[in-house]
Amino acid sequence: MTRGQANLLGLAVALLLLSGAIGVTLAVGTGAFATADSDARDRAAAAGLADRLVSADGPLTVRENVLDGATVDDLNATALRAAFPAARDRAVRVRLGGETLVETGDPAGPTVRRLVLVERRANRTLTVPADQNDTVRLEPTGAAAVTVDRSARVESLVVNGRTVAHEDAGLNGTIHLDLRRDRPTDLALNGSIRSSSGTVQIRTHPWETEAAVLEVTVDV
Amino acid sequence: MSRGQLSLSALEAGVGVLLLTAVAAGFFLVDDGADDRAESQLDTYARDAGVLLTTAGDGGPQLDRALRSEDAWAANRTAIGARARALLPANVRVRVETPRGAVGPPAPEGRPVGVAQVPTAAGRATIRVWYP
Repeated sequence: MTRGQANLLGLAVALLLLSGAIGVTLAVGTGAFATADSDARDRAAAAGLADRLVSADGPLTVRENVLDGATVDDLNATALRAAFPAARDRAVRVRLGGETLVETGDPAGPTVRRLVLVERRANRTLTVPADQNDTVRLEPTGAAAVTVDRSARVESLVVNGRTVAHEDAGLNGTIHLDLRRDRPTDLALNGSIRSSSGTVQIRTHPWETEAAVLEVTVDV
Repeated sequence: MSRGQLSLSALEAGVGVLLLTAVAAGFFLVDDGADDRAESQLDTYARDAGVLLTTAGDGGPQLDRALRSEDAWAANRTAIGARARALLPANVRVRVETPRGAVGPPAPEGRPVGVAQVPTAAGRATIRVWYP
């Protein structure tokens, strides 16, 4: 009698324990599979959007992996959705160098990080005294505008040893030069320059780049 | 007497629970995707670093130009290493291996290392990145 009841009680407790453990295991397993599924989807979405953000022909870039500083400054949720269909109807966060650029919703998925340069164009005006044949070194820039007055008697401009502008009577007005943007330029002013006369103004748009990490998080 | 009877059911249940706990722990503890994810992020870093090193375009030392001759490499080696380190986040180490020599600490073994290769004037350069 005592034996039988103890057996029954033991069985009941054992079954209770087992079914409890089965329940917990199933819950954990289902959760793990669901997380793995959505994690992979979110990661793929984030990687795709990040790829598009840094691709050479994307709306934010000047070259592959080089973002245009001015465009990035203007980026907001509407612009992001308009330019990147992958960002529509999804919670998206885009951070650049630790600062949040755009955040729609509160995505909790995995983050994909890309290395980028942020490029900004500065406007710089150099005023060079034109009182002798002289060479000016310009920082790397794609274009320069040289403004010179006829009275200064600057007859030719020589860029890296190549004459790009010449006027026997002395150059006058603004001369636009296309330069190589990947190296500094030596600009020489040649002519029968009058020692007393004025100045030459050189407007350049040197690039300044800054390395940063672009972080993209997407919840599908 | 009754002790012996009880312990048999309890023992069976205990073994069962232990088995199920082991299965559940498998989901919790073993995350074999972590290395894959770290490696895919590192590969991305390496690829991006390769792109930026070869197309600097900002007057900085370009890998391609630094590899044109032995002299150029000797002169630009340090600058290339510094440039690569500056491009990558602080928690990532980088090594640039070129046909003319390598710059950066050797990559560790048995840990995720991201690898990318870029074509240069002197041949193929390999960029390796890893978490220290």
